[in-house]
Amino acid sequence: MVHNLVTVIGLASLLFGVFVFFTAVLGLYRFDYVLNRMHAAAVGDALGIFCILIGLILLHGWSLSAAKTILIFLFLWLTSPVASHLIAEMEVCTISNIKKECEVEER
Amino acid sequence: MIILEYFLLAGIIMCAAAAPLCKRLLSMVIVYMAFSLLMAVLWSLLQSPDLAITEAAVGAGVTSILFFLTLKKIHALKGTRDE
Amino acid sequence: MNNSSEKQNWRKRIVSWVDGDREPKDQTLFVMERRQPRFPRPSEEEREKREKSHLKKFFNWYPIAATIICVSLIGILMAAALSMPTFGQADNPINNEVSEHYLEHGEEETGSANAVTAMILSYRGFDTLGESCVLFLAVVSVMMLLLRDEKNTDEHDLQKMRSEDIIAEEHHDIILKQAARFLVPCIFLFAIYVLLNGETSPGGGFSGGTILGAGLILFSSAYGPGNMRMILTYETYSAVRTFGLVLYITLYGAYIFIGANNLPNYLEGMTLLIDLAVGLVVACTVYGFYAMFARGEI
Repeated sequence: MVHNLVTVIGLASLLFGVFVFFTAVLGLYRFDYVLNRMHAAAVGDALGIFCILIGLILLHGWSLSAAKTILIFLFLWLTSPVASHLIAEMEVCTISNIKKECEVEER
Repeated sequence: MIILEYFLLAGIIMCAAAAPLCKRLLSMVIVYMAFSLLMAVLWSLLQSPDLAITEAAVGAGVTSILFFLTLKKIHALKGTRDE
Repeated sequence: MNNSSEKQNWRKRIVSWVDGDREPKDQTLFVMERRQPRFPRPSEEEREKREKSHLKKFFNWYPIAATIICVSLIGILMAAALSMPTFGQADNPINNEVSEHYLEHGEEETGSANAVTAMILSYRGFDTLGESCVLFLAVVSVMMLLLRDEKNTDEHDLQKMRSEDIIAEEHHDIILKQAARFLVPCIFLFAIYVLLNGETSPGGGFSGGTILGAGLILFSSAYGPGNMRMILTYETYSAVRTFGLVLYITLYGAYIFIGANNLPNYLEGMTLLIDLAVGLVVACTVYGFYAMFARGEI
């Protein structure tokens, strides 16, 4: 009973993760401006990775591989926002008429 | 698993065909990077994890960095700070 | 007296030839060049027009030729793939006694549980030696082309680099720095794990070295070249690079010598050290490429 429940939860979170990734890719294609596209990709990335890896751990059961999966997930949560931040900063630095597109906080 | 392999193979062929057809050099490099990542997953499905690690690190990581640096050096990137 | 001055003259000519200067002109050649050309040189416009038509012709033919070459290559490769034996059959030519021997006796003969590492570092170690030499030579040639010194750098380049440094100083990114502060030790740890664990699990010299180089690249791009020089100067870099290759050559030479003469194998953990040597060479190659392409200096 418990085993079945865990499997169902794992499958559900796996499917939800795939759905989140699908929306991220859709956003990447549908939006026009760089910052919007990047935002869709970055947000979808974080949640999708969380859901997919949790689903994998639940389906697989607790073992050394699951611990390694948690490490991978921590690593990706640490690196992916930093990468998106750098892309956004590059865009804000280099484009000349940034004021026309959005508000920028002065630093 | 077999279906996944076929999907990956189709993706690899698509990436390989798309890389020379891209208009901008930057997107070409990114498509090449995607090719390397798909190849790494395929290597690990074919049970050669050594190659998969090396392909992911060299093909997707270091080669793209070198390509980006080269594009910057020959002023082919849009929006770099030099005139 | 006369002899020594002539020698010096020769030396000067050789140095100028190596530096790519033109040789001092011969008098007869000079006279030949002074003559009026027989055909008048085409004017600037005419030449431009001719160049343009040539270019146009080239761009007309280029896609067609590329397509023909690609299609014929695809055809040849497809034909070759069709005539290959089917995947996974028992009587394929690869299933012979060589691979059987490697798989069965690899662990006791080389002392590494991972068959791939056993193969590339001990049975086929000579191949890997050649690959390491290729990497070494690649870095050397990139350095010859891109290393900055006072001969190939003018004031303009220096000015530009200084202004870029100032911009990077103004826009220093605290998020990247804090993330790198946490990530770089983790990446180094993982690289060392992959490097030293190549005997028993997937990994080894090439992958571990590449991860180590990627960590160095992250450190360099997050903290700037000034901080990078604190942990890796040019001298250290050259020393490590050469040390890796020399270590590999020495160890593998000893390995071949001992193995060929049927001496008892005293060096059990040889694969570990060879792995380390390959890893050092690969890491230095990766980081050297990055540094040369980015700034032209280590």
